Amino acid sequence: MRRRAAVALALARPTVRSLPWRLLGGGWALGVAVAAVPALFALHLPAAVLADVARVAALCGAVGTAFALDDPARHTTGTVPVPRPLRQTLRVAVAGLAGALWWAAVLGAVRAGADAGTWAGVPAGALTVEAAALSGLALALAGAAVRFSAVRLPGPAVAAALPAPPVAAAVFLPDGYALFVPPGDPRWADAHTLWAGILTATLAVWAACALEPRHRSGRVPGRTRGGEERGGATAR
Amino acid sequence: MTALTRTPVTAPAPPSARQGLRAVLALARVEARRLLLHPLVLVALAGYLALLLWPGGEPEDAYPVLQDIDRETQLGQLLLGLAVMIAANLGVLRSHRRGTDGSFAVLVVRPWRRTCAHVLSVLPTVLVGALLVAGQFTAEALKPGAVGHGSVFELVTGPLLVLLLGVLGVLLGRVVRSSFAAPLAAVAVIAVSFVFVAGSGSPAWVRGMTPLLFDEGARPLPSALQGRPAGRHALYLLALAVLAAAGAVRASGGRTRAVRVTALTALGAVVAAVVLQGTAPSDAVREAREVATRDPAEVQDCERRGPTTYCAFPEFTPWIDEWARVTDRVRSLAGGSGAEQALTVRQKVAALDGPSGTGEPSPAAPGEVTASTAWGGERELEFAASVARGLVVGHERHAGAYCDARGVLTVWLAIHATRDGEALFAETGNAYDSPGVIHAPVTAIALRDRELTVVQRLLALPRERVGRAVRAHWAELSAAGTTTDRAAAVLGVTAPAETAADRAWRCA
Repeated sequence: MRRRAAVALALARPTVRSLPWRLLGGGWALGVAVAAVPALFALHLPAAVLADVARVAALCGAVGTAFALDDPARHTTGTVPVPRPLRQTLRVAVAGLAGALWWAAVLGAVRAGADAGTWAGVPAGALTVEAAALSGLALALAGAAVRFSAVRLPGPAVAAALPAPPVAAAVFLPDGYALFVPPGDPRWADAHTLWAGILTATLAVWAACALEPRHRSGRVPGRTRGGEERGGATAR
Repeated sequence: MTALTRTPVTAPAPPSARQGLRAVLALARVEARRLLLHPLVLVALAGYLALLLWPGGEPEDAYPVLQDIDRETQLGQLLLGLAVMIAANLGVLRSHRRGTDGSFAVLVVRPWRRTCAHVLSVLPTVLVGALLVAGQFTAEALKPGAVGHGSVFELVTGPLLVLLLGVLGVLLGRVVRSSFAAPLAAVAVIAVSFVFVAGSGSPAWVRGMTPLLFDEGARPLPSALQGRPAGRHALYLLALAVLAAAGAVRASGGRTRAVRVTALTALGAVVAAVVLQGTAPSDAVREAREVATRDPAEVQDCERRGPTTYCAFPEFTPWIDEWARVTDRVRSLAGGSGAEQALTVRQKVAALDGPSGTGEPSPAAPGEVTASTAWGGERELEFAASVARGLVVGHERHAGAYCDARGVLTVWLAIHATRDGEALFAETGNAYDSPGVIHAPVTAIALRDRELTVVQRLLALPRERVGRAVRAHWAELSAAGTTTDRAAAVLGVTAPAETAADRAWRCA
């Protein structure tokens, strides 16, 4: 256990260096910009709209998170003694720490644009669970893409697919199971049980997909024709 | 002597404009197919179709008002457009992701021509979107209960949204070499369209710059009173799409004069469309709204059937048959003087705030009852209540509960004059969490718990038996001041005692 902690510590700096900070930062920056709109334009929006503003900001962050598992060196790191779950956990932990700071900034920006009374109606804790679940969804999709294909950079595809599930949930879920409910709605508690369930489920999917498969995937680029990515240029 | 023969080496001639066009079209065809079959677009189309073909729906859906239905097609197209934007962006950046940009550099087809092909590749998907809109609207317009007129401009807005978003995806791919930009742009579009919605209170030109002009009012309006700048908004979307396309071509090296002229023209059209949208609604529309709200008789068509005269805005006259069916049913239940009393059913609107307005029309003149501009399901029950109130009470001025025989009688008549009246009465109570309230036009008809219990006990009895008692005691039951106890006794049930909650009501 202690040895593993030592390895994790030693890997912390390289992990920080290898994370795609520009992409993560891009998503976060747009998120903060969206959250700051009510404050910048003095819009005086009601609590329900402010909650939606925070949700849109969370979705921006989740689009950035979709790139957190991108590893251009994936086909060479498959044989190192540090197992993939530990490497991915480290990445997620580092990105998560920075993400927590970002989310605090988002909530601060939303708060700056709200009157004290309106802000009291915005349940920040529950919205944090929603944001974490959206980022968890990005992680689960990226983890699954890594686990079940030979793709090195799952980010672009996952980011492209990411807006679809929330939009589908908003359009298709029946009223009783609505996810995007306004604060103060009688369904709020039920919806957030559901959100917590989604968070747990997505993290579980990611954790399950983090394990390196017993056999190396047959579709390694260069060896077969079916590889998703050909050529060696840096992608993204 | 040796003759030196030189084989002439000629450089390949640059492709003629015609060959260039053919290459662009060939590439556009391939890209169009890939775009249409992109998983994201397929999922969006499947979701869209599922929503359209989902069985069930409200009873109100059988009576669509076409000037409202036309703009309901736009939302699904916006969501389809988001998928097309991301997919088109991924298509433009495919060579970048796969590291084949370098190979393209040696091809004869220049990058800006490839961009033209990508822009053109969006068109078939736009066409699919347009077909969906056409199918959706035609299905609504063919319903027997449909009234009103759709607007072509409202209908093309949806496909234009798909075009604009698709071209924006291409532009983003040419400006930002990362497939990360399009999903973020999609989120930004969602934010602008659904979160920072420019409501009816914001300036018209700000509203006009958002992708969708949202207008969700309480009730539909006649089409002449809509005053939505639909044509100018469609022009805005089209011009913006052309501007984005020109921008994308220019960003990939197409610095020809034609591109510059196109871009400048499109920019001018965008600015003009924004300015023109700011002038809506016109003074003529404002005046028409004023007249329709304050003095609807001036613009309505009337039809006399027996003792009842039905007056409706010209577009809504097909519903007079439906109104007459319910009115005749109320009259036959009422019997006696209620069956012959002259009555004018007048359709009214509160149009001063335009299609976003949520106000109620003003109370009807004596001898008139109000009909709204919506029909089907609960609207039918509300209309029946309005007619019953006209026969029993004779005016619409009181906003409060009828704490006597009149309340019991009105609601009993309304429920039995409506198809599935009992179920609708229970439903409307649950929906607004206010049992015993029917949201009749102008003022709701409310019952206290006491009168509601009496009505429920009456509903448990055979309708014929109660009907005979109603006809026999019509004058007494419809008179102000006849108590609930007396009404219950006359009709053959008992009334519960008045509770503290009952006394809290304001009685009309």
